[in-house]
Amino acid sequence: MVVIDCLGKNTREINQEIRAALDAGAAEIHLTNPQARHNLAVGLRRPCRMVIEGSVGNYCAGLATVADLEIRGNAGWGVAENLVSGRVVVHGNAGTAVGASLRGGTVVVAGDAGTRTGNLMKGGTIIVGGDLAASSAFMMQKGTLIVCGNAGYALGDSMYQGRIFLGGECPEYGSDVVEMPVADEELTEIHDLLLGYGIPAPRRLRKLVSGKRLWNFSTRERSLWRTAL
Amino acid sequence: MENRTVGDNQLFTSKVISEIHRKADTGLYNIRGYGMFRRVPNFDDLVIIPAALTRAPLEGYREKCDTTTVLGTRSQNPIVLDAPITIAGMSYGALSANAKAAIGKAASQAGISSCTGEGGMHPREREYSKTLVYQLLPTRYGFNLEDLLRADAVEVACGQGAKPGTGGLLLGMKVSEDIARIRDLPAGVDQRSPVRHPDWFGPDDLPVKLDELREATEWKVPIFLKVGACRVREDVKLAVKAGADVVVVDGMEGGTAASPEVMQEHTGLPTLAAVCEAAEALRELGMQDEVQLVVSGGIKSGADIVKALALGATCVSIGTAALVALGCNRAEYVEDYHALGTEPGHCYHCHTGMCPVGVATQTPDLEARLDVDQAAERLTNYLHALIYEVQMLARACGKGNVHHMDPTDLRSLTLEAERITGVPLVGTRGLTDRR
Amino acid sequence: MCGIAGVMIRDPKATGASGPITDMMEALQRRGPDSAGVALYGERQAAYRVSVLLTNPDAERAEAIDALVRELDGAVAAVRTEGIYGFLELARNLDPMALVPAIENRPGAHVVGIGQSMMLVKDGGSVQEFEDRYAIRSVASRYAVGHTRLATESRVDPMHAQPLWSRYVPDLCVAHNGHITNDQVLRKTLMTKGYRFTTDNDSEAISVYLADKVLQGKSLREAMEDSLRELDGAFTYIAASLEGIGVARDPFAFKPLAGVEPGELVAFATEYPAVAAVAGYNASVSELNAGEVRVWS
Repeated sequence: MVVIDCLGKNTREINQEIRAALDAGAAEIHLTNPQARHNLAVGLRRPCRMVIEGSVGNYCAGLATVADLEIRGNAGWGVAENLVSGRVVVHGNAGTAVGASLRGGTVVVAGDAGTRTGNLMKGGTIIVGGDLAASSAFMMQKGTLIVCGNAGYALGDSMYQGRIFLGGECPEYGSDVVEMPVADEELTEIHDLLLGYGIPAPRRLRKLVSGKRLWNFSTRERSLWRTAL
Repeated sequence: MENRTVGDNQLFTSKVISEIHRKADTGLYNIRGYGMFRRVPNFDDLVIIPAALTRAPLEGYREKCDTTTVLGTRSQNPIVLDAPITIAGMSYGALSANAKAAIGKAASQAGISSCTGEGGMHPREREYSKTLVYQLLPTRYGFNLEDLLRADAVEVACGQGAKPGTGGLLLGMKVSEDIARIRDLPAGVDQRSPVRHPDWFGPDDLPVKLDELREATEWKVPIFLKVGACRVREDVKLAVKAGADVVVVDGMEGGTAASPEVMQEHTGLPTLAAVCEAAEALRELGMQDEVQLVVSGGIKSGADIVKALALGATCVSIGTAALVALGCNRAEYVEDYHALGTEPGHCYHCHTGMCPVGVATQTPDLEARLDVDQAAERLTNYLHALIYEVQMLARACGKGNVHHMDPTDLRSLTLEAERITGVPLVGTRGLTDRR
Repeated sequence: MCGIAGVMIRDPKATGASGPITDMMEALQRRGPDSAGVALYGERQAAYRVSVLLTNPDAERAEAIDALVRELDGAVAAVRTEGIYGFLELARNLDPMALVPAIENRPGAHVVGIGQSMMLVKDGGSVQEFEDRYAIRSVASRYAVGHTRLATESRVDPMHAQPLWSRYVPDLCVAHNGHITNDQVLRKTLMTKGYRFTTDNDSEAISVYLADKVLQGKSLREAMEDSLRELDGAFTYIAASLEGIGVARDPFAFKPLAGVEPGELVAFATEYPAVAAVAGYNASVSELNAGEVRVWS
């Protein structure tokens, strides 16, 4: 196991040490004293278990091709943005734009997640153990968003495709978001997934998907397009 | 019925009437391709004044005129181009794969760069392009680390001259199975792109976002930042403060494959005004030698390029002109132009995806009409002709390097141009002190 | 656009907010390289304190302050000059607002803060330079508002730095991150009511807007809640007055604001690292939601 102490180092040096350890074929990397720095573990390309022992700033594990990262603290904005595969787990809370434009893999926030989480998601899974703030899953394209707690307003606004599972309440869905019955196999899938991350499954789940009425312009849906355009 | 008018009404002309009828029929604003149609003050309102007795013009041949252009001088691996020209970001989606490949090929042959545009990096485009700029847009379609690491520079797109302040559009007829796969969309949807990036929200957030891109690329490649020309002075300063190596300012004449007409005709600043404001902003920051300015929007000739450089740009970017060179509006397959209700030389129907010459389409049989090699040859020819024009004009001004052009090499033909550029009106000593 | 921070210590007798606010501003330095400023709220005094910003050349500043004190003819009980400021302590039982025109009549003098509790300072440059110049950390305060500025559309000068005092209500100030897009409309409405503006900063529309609401008898919370409906654009902001400190985020949830509030310390800032720097890296930090206002006293 390689231990990288962030104390006294700048972000560039830390990321260079991570890269060197990965190139050397490290089996596991631990980062200590991250002190909420921005841009830690950005651009990961090799599969390797990593643990950050503390809180991180913005864009942690951003732009990664593959990640297997545990953050034992909170995260700033844009954690795991544009991740392609693997998983990133935040033990605490996370700020705005969790998994923005996520392409694949799984992002878990055990606590609360900030506004605009999962916007433009193109695949993968985002799990929020606590509450999710407003304007999340805007223009979601693909993938799965699971919210165990409550969600802020405009959830799933103008989503193209993908699935949102909501345990708690949402004051107002986004444009053209419709509720669907949850299939038994989906329920099993979600429960198994949550179990794997030690997150208690909500008592009930609602499934939200796109109503597809914003896929193509139509004068028949005037009121909908009135707000969309 | 073609010449409908309401008496001699100057407001409700036949065009206005047919547009109102169109809105009444469809219930939607007009979306079309190409770019702004009306005239705004532009580079044609300036003339270049070559050398005579006061200074000596240069001959051709061994009296070389250097056109080498370096972008991103403050980054580890700046981009070095043989000419002050780049091809603007145009997506695979708006353009066919053949068009993208031809652009990459021609740009490489001419020693300049091309840019991915919105739809990710097409493998054929990377293969053909010697120098390729990878765009990071709000949608992040097709964006990934592996392609980022294959790029020679990354361009953070924060707007477009044709429709500043609004997101992209790709109408359903162009969202083919392949485009849908690359963009992770359902095939056939009217794709509406968000206008803002999903993970940063203003110039104050941007330094950290740019650092993320730097960390991911190990601080090697230059970062460009592109804005549509609006509050140019302020935006250029903010881009520089955020850490951009190159600022790209796209004027309102900039092209588009599909945009609301009202945005194309009524928003943004003309490129002529944009270059002046942008250059002044860099000078005010004292950064004119460290950060390069690229301007785009309606650049079509060597004269435009030389004038833009004289006013403070390091390089220009061309889009529409490059497509025209590929074959856009060529007099071939005339019956298909007619089917679109237009003629060669008048077509602006990029938004329909029914491009008769295979440039702006996703329909396989139309795309097949664009032969990559022939199209690349035409664009290469055009680029070389531009470079010859640039060299000729610079040499005529006695410049051994095209980057030595300055505002005193120009005169304004109109009062407007003089007010905008500070370049004296022909035959006068000028109204202002600004040079 | 910029970085904003607000901190309050729950214990009403506490005096240690100035250190944390400076730490937070240092963490927000990159967001706002152009200028820095704080409003520090200490124990309420009987006499008002006035921050007079002097745009005079350095060499003429001390003389300008002396002349100003003479002109005010006994109204000033004590005076201290630091950096580009003269900090006046007024004689008791004086209406400080009545003195503003007399002070600003002096060339180069601008009143940027008046309060019984609030001390407001702002200047160009980095947070470090700011601290070197004004020794903020050593000032006793229970709550504080901090700002680091990246100028977008308005001028880079100390006058345009933030926090912005409301000018019409002593002790009321605002630090804003984002942009107000109906500031010109609000300005006209407020100017019709008799308010004057001293900068072309869009954020000034918020500070004067809040002053107008407070003068109508509204609480800080009510004024801030009203603002969510009436301001347009991106406006995460922190406001403070004698009532306490409040945070607000626009309904579109544009600019983020993260914070902690359980426990001894309330701390909010634009970026999480700034909060973590004072609340600890394990504190449970969360984001203010869209259209949310929170006020502490």
